[in-house]
Amino acid sequence: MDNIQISGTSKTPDVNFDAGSGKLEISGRSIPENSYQFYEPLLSWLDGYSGQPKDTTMLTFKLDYFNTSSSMYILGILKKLEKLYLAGHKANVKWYYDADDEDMLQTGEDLKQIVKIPIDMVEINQEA
Amino acid sequence: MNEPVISDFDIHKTYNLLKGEQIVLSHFGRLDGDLVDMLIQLTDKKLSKSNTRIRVRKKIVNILVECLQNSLNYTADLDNSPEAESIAESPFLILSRQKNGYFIYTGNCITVEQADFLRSKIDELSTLNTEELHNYYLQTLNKETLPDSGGAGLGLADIMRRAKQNVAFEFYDLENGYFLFCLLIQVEAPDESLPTGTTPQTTQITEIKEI
Repeated sequence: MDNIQISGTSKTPDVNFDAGSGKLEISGRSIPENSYQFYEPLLSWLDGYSGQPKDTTMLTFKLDYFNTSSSMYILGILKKLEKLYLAGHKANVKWYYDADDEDMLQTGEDLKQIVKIPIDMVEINQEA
Repeated sequence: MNEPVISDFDIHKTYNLLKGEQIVLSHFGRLDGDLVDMLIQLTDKKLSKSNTRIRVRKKIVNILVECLQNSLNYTADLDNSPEAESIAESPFLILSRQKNGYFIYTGNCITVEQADFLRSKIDELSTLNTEELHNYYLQTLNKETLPDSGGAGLGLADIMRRAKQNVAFEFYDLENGYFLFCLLIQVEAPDESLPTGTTPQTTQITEIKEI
């Protein structure tokens, strides 16, 4: 299947979904006014990928900002991966947050409470 | 011969007012997607340049995104109405720096039906303590079905939890079938020093008294 490679803008994140390696990454800002338009193709891609997943799927989030409509789609992506995981496939999620960004840390912790899939919290440091 | 009068506008007074109140950014008028994007980028840039802590800057920017996109999406949309122009021009945003943090004052015109819906949501959320608000947020996030827009509940809960519930709401009846919906939000920045030569006030959120 085709990979997804989308370059980020001031409103939308970089997306790199590689079906060949099972490495999926979303990074940057996710504050689109129309989250459906941006995220629906990603959810559809995951439906296709779930039919022939790699041995291990690694999903990485490195977000600076996101709006609440994006947060619903981020959860939607995690739920797709959760299905894969509960069906017996290996899957792992890395949630990056800045050491000083308590809200991004909290969101990662919140998502851990909602989905039954391993989410590693990864702290990063950057200058203010 | 008299000096030519260019304008009665007192720029010195206005400058001192804006400086004294430490206005970081303000906007009045019609919004569109590009303008919202620019306001967010400008805020991010200005707060980065002023060495605002990451946690404070990100909190402010995230709250602004939510507020401005709500104004953009939910300002009453009227055609062929005498009020259409003034309603479309109603969104406003003021971000100011005070001794005890940053204050975001924002609002826009909404219909009576929107006001009723928001009031019921705010009444529901205002009774919650920190833990209950967190649980409400989690439950609402989890039960939303895509591609639903999420409704006001999740957005309001997100603003309130990011601002640690330092949020006041007000509805001003414009007596023409519309309300001006206003939010005053405090983002605490306790360990930041103010620029020298400024004398901002200490503001506490109790309720919004007047515009």
